[in-house]
Amino acid sequence: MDTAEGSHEGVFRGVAHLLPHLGHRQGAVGEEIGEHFGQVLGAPLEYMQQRLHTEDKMVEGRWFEEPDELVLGAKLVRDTGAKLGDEVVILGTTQDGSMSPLKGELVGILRGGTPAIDTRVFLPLERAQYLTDIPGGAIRVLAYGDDFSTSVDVANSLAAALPDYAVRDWTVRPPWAQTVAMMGAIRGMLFFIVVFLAALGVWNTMMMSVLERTNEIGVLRAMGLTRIGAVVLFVGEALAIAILGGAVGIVGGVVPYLLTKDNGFTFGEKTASDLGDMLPVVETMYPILSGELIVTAFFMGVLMAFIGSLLPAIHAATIQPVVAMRRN
Amino acid sequence: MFATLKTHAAVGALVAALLLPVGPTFAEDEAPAKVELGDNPTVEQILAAIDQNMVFESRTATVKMVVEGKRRTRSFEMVTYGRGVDDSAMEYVAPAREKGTKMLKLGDDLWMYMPSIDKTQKISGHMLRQGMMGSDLSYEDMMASDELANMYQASVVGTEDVDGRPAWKLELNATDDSVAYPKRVQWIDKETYIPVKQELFALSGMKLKSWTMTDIKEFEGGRKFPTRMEIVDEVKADSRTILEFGEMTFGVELEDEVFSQRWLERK
Repeated sequence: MDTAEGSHEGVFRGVAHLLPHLGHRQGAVGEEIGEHFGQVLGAPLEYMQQRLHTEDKMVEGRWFEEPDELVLGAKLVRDTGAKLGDEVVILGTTQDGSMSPLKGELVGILRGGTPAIDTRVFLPLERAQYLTDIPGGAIRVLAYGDDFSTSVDVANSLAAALPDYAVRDWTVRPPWAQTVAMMGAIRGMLFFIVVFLAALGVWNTMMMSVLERTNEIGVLRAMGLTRIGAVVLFVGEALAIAILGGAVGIVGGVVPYLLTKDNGFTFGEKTASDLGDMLPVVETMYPILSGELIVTAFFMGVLMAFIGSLLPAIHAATIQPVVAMRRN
Repeated sequence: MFATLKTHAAVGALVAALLLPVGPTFAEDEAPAKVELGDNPTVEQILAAIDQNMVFESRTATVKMVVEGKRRTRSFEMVTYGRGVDDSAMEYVAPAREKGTKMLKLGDDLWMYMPSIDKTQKISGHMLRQGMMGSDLSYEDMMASDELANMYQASVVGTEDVDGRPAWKLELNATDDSVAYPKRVQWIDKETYIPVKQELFALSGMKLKSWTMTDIKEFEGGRKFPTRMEIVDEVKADSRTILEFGEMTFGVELEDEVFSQRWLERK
C-alpha cells in the first residue's frame, strides 16, 4: 500500500484524516539475536503524538525528530539497559523475510503500563519502511472520522471504493475486537456473580427471618392476617431492606469513585506487564461510574430482593396458625 | 544395502557441496580418477563415486541467487570461498541494499556481518531455520556439513529416470532426532555420479523442500559439476529459489584471512 493514500483525505465521506501505519513486525533489540524482542511500529510523528495519546507517557526524553532517532518502550529499555543517547540496534526482517538491521539513537522512553507501549520500538515511518523493505509503503492506513458511531458505514463505503484493499472498522480490528469481547465476558461474569450472590443473600436472610418468626406469623395469622397479607409483609420488608441497602451501596460506591477517579488504582509496572498479555490490564486503572450504572444497579438490587424474598414469603403464608403457635 | 554416511558431505548436504565447498579428498588441481561402477553398486560405492566429482579442497565461485516470491522477485549476487569441510565464506555484491553483507562458516558456527550497522552477528538457535535473505534456502541448509551427514543412514532403493536420464534413488533416514529433515530422498545420475534431485521430508512424511540440480558442466581436469540449482520450499506458497553458478575455480590458493572474523569486518 502506497503511503500516497494520504492524498485521499477528504475524498471519502466520513473520513477526516488518513495516516499510514507500518508495524506489528517483531524485531530483536540489543546485542544478541533472540535476547530481547519488541514490536516495531513505524508511523508519522503526528500518529505517535496525537493518536497514541502518549503526551503523559513520555517518561524520559522526547519524540524523534530525525530519521536516525528512535523511541523505546520502558520494558525494552529496562531489559536492554539502554540509556538516552545510546545507539540501539534493531534486527528485523524485510517483507520477504531477509534479515534487516538498522540502528538509531535512543531519544525517548515511553511508559504506558501495557505491552503495547512498553515492549515496542517506535520508528519514523521512513525508517520502518527501510527496515521492512517497503519503500514508500505501509501495511495499513488508518482512517479517522469525527464520529465513532459511523465507523461501520465509513468502512463499508471505503471497502466499496477500494476493492483491492481489506477495509475493517475499528470494532473488528485487533486488538480492539478481542479486548471488547474479553471485557464483555468479564463484565457478564462479574454481573452474574454479583446478582447471584445478592439473590442468595436476600433469600437466605428472608428464610431465616421466616423461620425465626414462625410463632409471630402464627399469631398474626390467628389475628386475621391473610395469606396475601403475609406475602406482602415479608416482600415489603425485603424491599425496604433492599432500598436501604441500595442507598448505602450507592454511597459506598460513589465515595471511592470520587476519591480515585483522578488518580486511579495503580497495580505497578511489573504486575501490569505480566498480566497484560492475558487480561486487558494497564498499569493504572480508572473507575467508571455513571448515573445509568447507579440506577441500573439499584433497581437490580430491588428486583433481586423481590425475587429472593418471594419464596420465603409464600412459605410463611402457607403456615397454619395453630401449627405455627404450637411450634413454640 | 545400508550405509551410515560418515564422510560424504555432498549427499548429506547438497547445498553445502555446491555453495560451500567440502571434503579434502583431493590434493589441489588433482583431477578426479574415473570410477566405474557395476550394474548393482552398493551405496558405499555410489557415495564414493559422488565424492570423485563433488568433493574439493578449495574453491571460489560467483553465484546468482534469484528468489521468486508471491509479491516480487529479487536477485542477489555473491562471491563464495571454501576451504575443506569446515570453512567457507560468502560476500554479497548485489543488490545495493545487501552489498557488503558477508557470511562466514567456521565449523559449526555461522556469523553474518551487516555493513549497514557495521556489526557481526552470530546466527544461532531458531534463526538457523529461517530462509537466508528470505529465500527457500535456510541458514541451516548452509550449515550442513559432514556433521549432518553423520546423522543419516542411506540405502539404494531403486533406479528411476530424471529428465530422461537413469539415476539411482537413495533414501536417507535420520539416525538423530534433532535434524531438520528426518528423511531425504536423492537421485544420483548414473553417468556423472552427480546428485540431480533431492526431496526433503518431515517426520510426518510431509514434503518440506525439493531441489533439482541441472546444467552440469565440465571443469578443468574433467570434473563435472551442476551449475544451476532450484529449491522449492513446499511449505511456502508461490516461492522458488534459483542458484546459478558463474565462474567456478577449484583448487585455488585462498588467504587464511578470508576464513576469519577479521575478514568479515574488513571494508
